[in-house]
Amino acid sequence: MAELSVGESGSPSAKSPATSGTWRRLWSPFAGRPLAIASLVILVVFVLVGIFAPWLAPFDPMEKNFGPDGRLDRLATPSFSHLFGTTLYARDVFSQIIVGTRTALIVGVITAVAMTVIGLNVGLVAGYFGGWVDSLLMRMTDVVFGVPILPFAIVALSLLEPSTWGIIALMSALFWPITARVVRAQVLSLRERPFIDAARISGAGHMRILYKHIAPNVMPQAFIHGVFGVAWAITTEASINFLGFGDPFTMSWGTIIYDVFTSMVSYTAWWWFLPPGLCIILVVTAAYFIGQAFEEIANPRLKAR
Amino acid sequence: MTALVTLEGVSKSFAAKGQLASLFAGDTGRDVLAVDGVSFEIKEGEILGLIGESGSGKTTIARLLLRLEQHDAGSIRFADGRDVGALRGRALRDYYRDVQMIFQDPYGSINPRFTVFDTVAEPLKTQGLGTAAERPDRVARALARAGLKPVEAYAAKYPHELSGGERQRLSIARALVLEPRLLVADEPVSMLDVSIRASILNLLKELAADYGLTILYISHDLSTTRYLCDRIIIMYRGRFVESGAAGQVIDEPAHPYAQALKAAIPIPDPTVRRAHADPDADEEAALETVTGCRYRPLCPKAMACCGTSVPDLRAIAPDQEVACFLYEGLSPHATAEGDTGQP
Amino acid sequence: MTEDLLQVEDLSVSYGTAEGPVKALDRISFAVAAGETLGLVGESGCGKTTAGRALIKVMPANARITGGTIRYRGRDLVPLSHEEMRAIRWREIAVVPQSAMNALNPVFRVGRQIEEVIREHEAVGKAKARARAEELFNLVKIDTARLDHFPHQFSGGMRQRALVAMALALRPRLLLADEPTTALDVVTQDRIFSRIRALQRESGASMLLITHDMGLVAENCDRVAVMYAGRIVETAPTGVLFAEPAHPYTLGLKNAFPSTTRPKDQTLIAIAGAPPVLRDPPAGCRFAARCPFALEICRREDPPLVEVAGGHLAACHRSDEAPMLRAKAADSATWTRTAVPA
Repeated sequence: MAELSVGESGSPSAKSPATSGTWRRLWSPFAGRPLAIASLVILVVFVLVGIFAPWLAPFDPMEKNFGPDGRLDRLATPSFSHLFGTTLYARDVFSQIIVGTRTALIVGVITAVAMTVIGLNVGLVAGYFGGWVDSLLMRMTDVVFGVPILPFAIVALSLLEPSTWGIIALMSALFWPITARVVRAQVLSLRERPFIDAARISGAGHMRILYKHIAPNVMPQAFIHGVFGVAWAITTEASINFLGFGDPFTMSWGTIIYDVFTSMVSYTAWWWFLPPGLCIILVVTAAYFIGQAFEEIANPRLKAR
Repeated sequence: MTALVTLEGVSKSFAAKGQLASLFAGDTGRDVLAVDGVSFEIKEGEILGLIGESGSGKTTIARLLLRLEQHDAGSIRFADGRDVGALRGRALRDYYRDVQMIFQDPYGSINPRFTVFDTVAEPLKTQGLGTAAERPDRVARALARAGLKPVEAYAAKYPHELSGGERQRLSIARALVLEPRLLVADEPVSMLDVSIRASILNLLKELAADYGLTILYISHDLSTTRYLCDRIIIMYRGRFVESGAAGQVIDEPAHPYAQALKAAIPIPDPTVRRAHADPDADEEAALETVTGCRYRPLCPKAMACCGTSVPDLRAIAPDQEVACFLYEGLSPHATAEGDTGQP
Repeated sequence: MTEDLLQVEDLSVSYGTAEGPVKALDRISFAVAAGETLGLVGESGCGKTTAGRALIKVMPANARITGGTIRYRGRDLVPLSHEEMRAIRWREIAVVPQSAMNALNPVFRVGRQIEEVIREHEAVGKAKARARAEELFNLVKIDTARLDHFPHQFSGGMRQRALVAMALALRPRLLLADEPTTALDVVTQDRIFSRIRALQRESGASMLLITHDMGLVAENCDRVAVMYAGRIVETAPTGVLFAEPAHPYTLGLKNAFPSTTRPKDQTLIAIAGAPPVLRDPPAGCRFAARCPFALEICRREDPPLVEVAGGHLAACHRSDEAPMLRAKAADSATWTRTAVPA
């Protein structure tokens, strides 16, 4: 989108703007915004943890730990050997958090990508072609938009084999209308711009106009909602798991809290439920702030408020 | 000179929607007849000016020529007999090698995400012209011809790094890269600063003189049209009111509307005094839907016949045709080629 | 000569941006005498609109007056508070804005909007305000029945006339017209200006006309100030400016302006290049990079605005050679020496 690059003014010399310009543009949402920079740092740390989870986790998250006395080390308070203590079943909470980070990120990123891909295409096609195509797609969007996510997920998942992929598919199927609506609204105004007429008279067909000329201009908005999508997906996945409709064999922050809850020790074992809770809050908030920073750049009117 | 494009009895109406449209159509919600049965030729190698105020239908004619809109009645034919209205798919794509357009808005008409090079290379790619190795050469030639020199300094820039004048040159380069025979220029300088305007007008002049490019120049501005064009047509609310040699028509307009238009232009010379338009003329009348001549409600010389029938374009001098009953019977031997009457 | 109604001295305005301040106006000075029309001309980005907005202190949030004085009837407006300015706007200095559609509130009847302006500034009753609004519509020749219409029911020309009426509502001494007719067709523009001139004659109000159109300047202004890149580069009585321009930029503008009155085969000459970026203006004269007459000193030292003849000032190191520059400027070869494209 053009507004992303307002910071740059004409420079006299021919440089290679493709590289330096892109980086500067990508950094511009963070310039002078400490909150956004902090969020970025937090997110980067989580991403690294997620990527290197198998090497970082000191224990197998499902492994039962024994104390020096040979007995199961149940509900141990944090110590050097178990940074976040252990669970009722003597499993290492720290390792669970690290492995759960990977799950959270996979769920967040895949859902975000899927919702963006679906929403972007629906929005592009609806906005560009208009007419009955638009009506049909937008009615569909309205219907999906109206579906309450958690109740629907619970019903759907109780009928299916619980799996993380199922949760991802479900969230992707429910989240895309937000992206679709935003993209469509932008396409409606973009398609009236003369450069689309110019593309048409250069001989470009519909597909080329849609994906080469229009799509790159709506990507920033779609991207912003993708970032928010990461946050929604992580929250929703945790909620589903917390409610016990998730895959019990996948370690995720939601399952950890579910375990605390079903063990009925939530009033005592703070080291067990606090870390996953804080992780959810940190990642979701960080994603929101980053999304918001990008949005302020894309839509400067927000800044004034 | 042979005709490159011939329009015959071309009409286009738009469904009255929104405030603006209903303003022109009255409150009846009827369709707005943007172009009402116009006929004209664009001759090979000429610069033809199409003049009119907003709502006159001049931009609609440009869009019909480029098939960005489809006309409702009449025919638009290209030199080799191609029926522009019937072009589809491949044939339409091929047509765009012959006919190109530059737009009024130098900011909106270039994709902000394309570099200068990509912008000019895009038509070659969509048309499948030249190999990837040949394209940089053709792009460079088009950029140079449009005056974006040195080419290397511009190729990697993005539109936001260019001035308005440079963008308009880029727009011209994008059109030229296909080596079209007709260039439709829709108000190409109206959004540019005066000091830059002249350079774009001069560039268009050069392109016509050096490469034999035919240009349809669409404008609301008599002075730039007079400077650039060989022949002009003046439109009023969807119809032609006067046409002829640019110098003749602008210097001595015959139609009362053309006269009013000319008389209203401020003259950048404080020593010249001109008569000013009556400040209190009834503007509301101009919005009425009328029978007969559309200028009648504002015309100081309107007669009874103006309300009952529509005047046709008639030659009143070798280089001048007027659609006005004042000149009816003035030169009975000459009849207009174009019939602007209703079918 | 009559006392100056408005006297602007060394006015500077900066816009704060992420990349640092942009000096939109750099120490500009001009005056408007009572009953006089001053034209402020220049191209987009030269600062003419900023100057107009600074006068009434209606500026974007990131704009700031960084220096200078704006004396209106002897009183400096720069230090005045919002409240004090409100008493001056409309009543003393009234604006005829650029876009009639944006200036009128689409959800209120036009008459009501005019009445509100009147009642906001004068302690009059509803009936009095209505009577005044009717009187104003008569002045600008719009049917008073139209007072009860909404803005969208007006044609473009009528809306602009309604705004002229609104500007005149409180009988201001100074009209500030910023491109009041750019959105209108030329015939409508001509009518509006005829009307404004007639009303100005009757009321004796002064006008500051901000425009890029040399034709409007020639026909409507007593004096002209030419702006370039945040500076005033030349100011003179209109007749003198057109007959004997002294600044190369003015000379260039004159060459570039198409007119129906100039010989058809006379080539228009563009000024190559573009105005400098105001975030980082060049040292010396700001026009030097585009000027075919620039000397070494022009790139080094900023030329002051000095008197060329009585009432005619130009900011050019070579203004004493003006007749020679004028002769040379008429030749298109002179202007091709700077090889930057526009």
